[in-house]
Amino acid sequence: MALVKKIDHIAIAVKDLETAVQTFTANFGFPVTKQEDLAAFGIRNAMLQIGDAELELFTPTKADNPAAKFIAEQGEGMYVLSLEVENLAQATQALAAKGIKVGPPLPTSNGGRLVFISPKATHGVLLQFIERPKSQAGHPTRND
Amino acid sequence: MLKKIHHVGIVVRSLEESYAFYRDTLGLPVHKVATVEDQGVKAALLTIGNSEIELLEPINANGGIAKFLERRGEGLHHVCFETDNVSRELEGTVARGIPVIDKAPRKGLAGMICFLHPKANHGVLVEYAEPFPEEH
Repeated sequence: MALVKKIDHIAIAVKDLETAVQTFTANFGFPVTKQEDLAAFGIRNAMLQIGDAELELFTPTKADNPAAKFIAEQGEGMYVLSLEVENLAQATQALAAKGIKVGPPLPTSNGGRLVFISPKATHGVLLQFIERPKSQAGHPTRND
Repeated sequence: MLKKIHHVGIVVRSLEESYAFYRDTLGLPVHKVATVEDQGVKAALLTIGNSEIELLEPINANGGIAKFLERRGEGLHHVCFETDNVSRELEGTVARGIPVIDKAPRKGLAGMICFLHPKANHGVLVEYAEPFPEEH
């Protein structure tokens, strides 16, 4: 059985959030489900729904956010691939057992948890495992 | 209408080497492997939920995938949205003045496909795909 359930979201680093939201809604018609200022992560973001997954447009609000460096060096673009897992602790342990480096669990704004996985293990992809709060598992619309 | 994420494309040096993580560690089944000569790429589609992860390995030094690998290294390359009608979707996109790479849909691994220009979408290379009828 697969360690991961589905693609949860793709995070796209942008310079100006409002412009990017306008572009993606105009170009593709994806509805915006949520906008937040996440001081703990040093970003402002907007979630756009596509099928059972989401696109996250985000812009760094602090110069030391790693995505600020990414934008400065490579330009805007896809930054994180987030995969939903049923049980974050189990999934993290399965990676650790194979010697793969995983960051500490971080709380999401709606009561879930996530971890980042070293791009060295994933062929250059900044991968994230996310466990949704149990009441919302499988439902991309967040009603917190 | 764009229905869902059909797949996320990831450029790798070697499909075989990348299977160790994506197939064996994540446990995602490989359901299709094909070489697309004119794109200079060997690709594998791995199922994840009702989407896929597409691993892309260059087969020569000239294609876009080889150039991406040389310039950026391994990593996220494109996102593909599924549609019922790729011709109509592309016509609508062009009519809205959005820059595209493919002026007409062409046959790809995921079905009939086309690519939009990344400058249209904040650096994100977007693909549309209408899956082949037998793969719906």
